[in-house]
Amino acid sequence: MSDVRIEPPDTTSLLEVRGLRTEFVVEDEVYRAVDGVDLTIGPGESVGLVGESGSGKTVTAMSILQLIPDPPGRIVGGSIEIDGVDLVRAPERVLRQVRGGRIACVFQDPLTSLNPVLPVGDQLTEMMRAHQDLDRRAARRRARELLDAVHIPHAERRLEEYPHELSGGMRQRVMIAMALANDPELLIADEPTTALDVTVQAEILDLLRELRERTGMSLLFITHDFGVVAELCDRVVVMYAGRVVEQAPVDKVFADAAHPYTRRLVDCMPRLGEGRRDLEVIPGLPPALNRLPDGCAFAERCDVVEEACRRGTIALEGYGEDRMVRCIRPGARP
Amino acid sequence: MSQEHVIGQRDVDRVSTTPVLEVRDLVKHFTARRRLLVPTPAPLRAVQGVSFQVQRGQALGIVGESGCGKSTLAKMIMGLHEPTSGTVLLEGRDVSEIPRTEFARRVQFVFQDPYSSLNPRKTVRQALDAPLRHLAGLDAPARRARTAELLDLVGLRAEFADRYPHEFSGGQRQRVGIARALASTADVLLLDEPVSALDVSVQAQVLNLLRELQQELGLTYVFIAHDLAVVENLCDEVGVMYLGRVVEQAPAEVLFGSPRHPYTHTLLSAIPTGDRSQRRLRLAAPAGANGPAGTDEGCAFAPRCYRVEDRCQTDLPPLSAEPAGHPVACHFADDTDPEEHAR
Repeated sequence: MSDVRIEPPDTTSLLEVRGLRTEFVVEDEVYRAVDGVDLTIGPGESVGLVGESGSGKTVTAMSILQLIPDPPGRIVGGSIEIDGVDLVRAPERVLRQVRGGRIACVFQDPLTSLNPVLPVGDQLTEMMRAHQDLDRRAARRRARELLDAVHIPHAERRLEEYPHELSGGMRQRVMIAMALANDPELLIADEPTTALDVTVQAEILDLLRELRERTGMSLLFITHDFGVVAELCDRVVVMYAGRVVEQAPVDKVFADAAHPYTRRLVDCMPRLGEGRRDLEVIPGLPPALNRLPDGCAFAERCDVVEEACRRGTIALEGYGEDRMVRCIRPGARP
Repeated sequence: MSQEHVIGQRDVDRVSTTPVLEVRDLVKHFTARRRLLVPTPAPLRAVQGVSFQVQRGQALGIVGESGCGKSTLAKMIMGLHEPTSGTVLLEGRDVSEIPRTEFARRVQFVFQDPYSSLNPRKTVRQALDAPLRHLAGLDAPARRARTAELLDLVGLRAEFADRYPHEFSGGQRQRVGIARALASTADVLLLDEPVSALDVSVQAQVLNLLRELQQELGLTYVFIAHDLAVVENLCDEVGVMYLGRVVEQAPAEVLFGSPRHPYTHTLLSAIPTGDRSQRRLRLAAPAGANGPAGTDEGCAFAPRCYRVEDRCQTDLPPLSAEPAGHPVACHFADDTDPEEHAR
């Protein structure tokens, strides 16, 4: 197996995930949810992690945060380095400083991530005081500033409110405010707008873009929506069956995807302005994660498959000057 | 309002026929339970006078954001909510006078989440058996044959009949849900967000299936969804709802091609397309700014509207196709171009 890895042009990366493998063991069956993922995020860079359900994007994010429930899950290989510290081997004490500190996260459903019996102000100040040496009064002032920063009107009054008193969009703004509380270098956002209406989603995307420009933080944005990625991200990483199959600058993925899976995924999205028409489909289903085939996991459903696709391990290799593809026929068309 | 405007002008000879499904001035208020010493809050007006017609073989899309009343509307058509006022007509007959079994033979519901709408302890065959026996009135050998036919129709293998819901993927379960709706002999399907829980590649399969079935069997759809691209992909006619009212209705290509209501403009511009150069419309106020539905004072969209003027705060704009074009509820329907008016 060729072990070629292409360094991104900027070698001073903030986060470096190398060969990450995360498994779940259920009733003696081993499910390889993440099967050798390499992922690099530079300072200030915005990376979109795209894939369908079960492709391993959320497990990748949870692995970075060391939040995989064990049992049944376990990181069985690889490293996750942020500034030279390997999170896979770091003690819990260090991890607690990193989570919510240097790496913050926002999840899909803010109502389950917020404490229903505490006013949002208390939750914000608790978050800050766990990481910074702040007295109550200073923390309170900073909490108000944060709500202002995420454009929540009447911040002073909102601090006293409970999560159920806020709309979905407002709750997600509170979650983003909490994530920003300790000036993170990396924000991991896992489908943060999926549960929101389109007009609210548009506002949250605008907010994230604005905050990124202002603070210079990096963003790992997990979604199944290519449109959202294109609005917010510089680079896209596409996952299929626990592996990265393509990495490319955003515009190239839309115009000219190199991996057959990426190309067909882009093709099966309905787009406004195209009217009533049959959509392209990808026949079949992704392989079961406890029965991954030899060779390419997409081979069964691929329209340019050949005999060699089903043998050995296919590596993620450089393609063109700024892309990587896990395919022996990158760019091929049927 | 002339009838052509209600169904769109595409098919003039259909005008004379009775619509398969018609909704007339449907209203639903939810009232909080009266409690001692606590003032009763004003009723929540979920649906405030919605009317439309659907012709045989047509697909009508209802779009709108959460809380606009689209699901309440569907439940009233289905008879799951009693309307506060207004009527639902099936081929000209008031559905409140149609016996439930007869109604169920004609109209069926497909839900968003096929996992929670299928009984986990029944195989597909058992799930299909009840409607085939009681609604389609088939004997055992005929039911067996029809089950195989239905599975084939929705693209599932015949041997899947003896499997349980948990053995299927999300897309396959939605196919089972569609097969079950068709088992009753229904020709009108109410589809409430049928693809929004599915992955993109699976969503495409189910949308194609719905389109094929419609053409093959001449089905009539009321398709409720929040994803405008999905609605455009399947529907002839589209109604846009905002806080309990239809604010604009037109044939799909007209609605998406030349929208007239500021809310429709706003919705369309909010869709992430990937084109960063395309500047998004800025709402005058954040999405949370409007109160709950419930007043007749002025336009409900006024607090968020970029085209708002004083009279919008006091006069409720009627849904009207005047002076020219398709029905829209806006005082300035002919002058809503976001390029000119948005900040």
